[in-house]
Amino acid sequence: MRLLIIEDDKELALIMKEGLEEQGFTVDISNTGIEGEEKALANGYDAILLDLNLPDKDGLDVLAFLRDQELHTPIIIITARHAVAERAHGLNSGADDYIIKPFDFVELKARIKAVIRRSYGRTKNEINIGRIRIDPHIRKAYVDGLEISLSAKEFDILEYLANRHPDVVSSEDIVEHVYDEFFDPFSSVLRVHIANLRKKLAAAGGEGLLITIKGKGYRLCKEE
Amino acid sequence: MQRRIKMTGLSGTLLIFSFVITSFLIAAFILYIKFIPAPRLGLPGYLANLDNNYIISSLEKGSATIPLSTIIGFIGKKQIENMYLSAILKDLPYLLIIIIFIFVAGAVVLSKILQRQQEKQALLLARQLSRIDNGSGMEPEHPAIAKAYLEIKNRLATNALDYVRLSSYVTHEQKNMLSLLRAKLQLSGNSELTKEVDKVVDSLDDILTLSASANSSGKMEIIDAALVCADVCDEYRKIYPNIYFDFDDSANYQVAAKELWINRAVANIINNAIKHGKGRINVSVSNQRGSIIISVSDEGKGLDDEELEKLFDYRYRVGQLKKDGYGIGLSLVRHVCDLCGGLCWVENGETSGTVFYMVFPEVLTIN
Repeated sequence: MRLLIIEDDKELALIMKEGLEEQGFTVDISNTGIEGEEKALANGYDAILLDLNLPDKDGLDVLAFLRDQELHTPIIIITARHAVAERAHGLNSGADDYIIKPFDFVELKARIKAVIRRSYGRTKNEINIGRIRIDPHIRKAYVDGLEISLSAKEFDILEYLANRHPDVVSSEDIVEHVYDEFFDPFSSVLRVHIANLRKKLAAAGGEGLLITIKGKGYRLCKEE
Repeated sequence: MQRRIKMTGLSGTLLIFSFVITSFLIAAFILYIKFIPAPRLGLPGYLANLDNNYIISSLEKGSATIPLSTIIGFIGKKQIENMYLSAILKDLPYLLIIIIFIFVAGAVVLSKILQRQQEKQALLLARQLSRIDNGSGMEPEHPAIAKAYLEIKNRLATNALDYVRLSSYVTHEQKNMLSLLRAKLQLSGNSELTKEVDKVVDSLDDILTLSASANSSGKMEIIDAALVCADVCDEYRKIYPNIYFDFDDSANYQVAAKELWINRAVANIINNAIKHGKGRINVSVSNQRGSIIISVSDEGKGLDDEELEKLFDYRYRVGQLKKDGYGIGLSLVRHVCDLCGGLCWVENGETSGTVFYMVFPEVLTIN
């Protein structure tokens, strides 16, 4: 899952990035409101963490601008403004959640996952696509109850394909949600990861569960 | 392969030498005895003054009668023995000269044989000593040589380990400092200098790879060669877009290695292809009967036969860095192949350019 942190405190932003990357997220950073708006509209993020005290623009204005641009990505406000009125104002302006600094990393991670889950229309943590079961919390995947050993990126790709099921997902789309902004959208690595994921699903008895639609992308199937 | 230095050759030579000399002496003695008729020492004898003509005519007739008038005296057993002894002593100097000559000639021949054997042993020892660092092993039979050999071997192993630890420690420390520097540069938005730092990190990774040895680098990892190659292609495509990656997505590409090693080996070959090859660069990974083959082809002018032969024809040594015009790249590639039980070679392409190959044994794992 790919996140955007819009935070003017560079050190805090880097610490957050490192902490979230350890949890399996891919993270981009913007230190100003305008740069954050540009990145948010240009890339497909799964969630945006937005600070309100930005040097060039108030965070709430950034939030309003993004919602005006019909951006439906979940946005979590992370700020030191803790008054109830401010929290209510933030949520009413289109934020999906509101976290007050200083925050607990475990809580931040749980809230990020919750807003992402809701944005994909899921109420449960687990994702079930036919014979495939994915537990994003413990980052494990199963075929017919049999656990498959996946690398971090293979899991991210499977999770994203499962979130987007039954859509056909293009390589560019996968790259946008699984890798950071510096990653090549025509990556060779992605092809190898998809090939390995398919081989591992097949080895667990799930041959044909991940199919390639030529010229369009990839799709998870409920049945072979 | 364990080899033993044989010390039994020397005693064998001495044994043969003693046998030959003894045989010569025995033969000389037999010949000498054969030409001197043995006296009938049990009978008394007479001294007669015979005319030469009489002796000749008697010999021609086959019988002789010695007239009593010619007998001038009686000779005893003791006198005859003395006479024979005198005859022997008369020949003794010649006999001694022959014996001394045999001894001297034998000694010269022996010294030549021993010298040759010593040279042979020295060459064998030198050959084994030259391989002391690669674990081929040797067990000299001579206790003093065996002891000295073991001491040198242990000292070399300790020095090599110290060297690896030191270079590993230094490069890791430098990488930590560079990480901090890179983070600060990133914060300040200086992307140009960030790229320069990345180049220094790559160079440090090369040093880490080159300083690794099969004994010192710990347990091998199971890595996906296709994934590493794809990753390197992605990285190089940022500076050279004309790189294409190809692989069969149904095959297994797991090899026993370290990701850093394969990464640096492939990166160095691609780097060379960009520098010397030009044109389209194709990186391909395939699995042919359990061999993972990585090939990198370019569209440059290729290499002549002599260059092709010599390109990988040496082991990595500090003195040979940059001598091939390819930097440390190909030394590193060969070193990585040696570490992982692989092979590498280079060919000219069918139409143009060169194709570099690396081959590693496939590793099968149970998922």
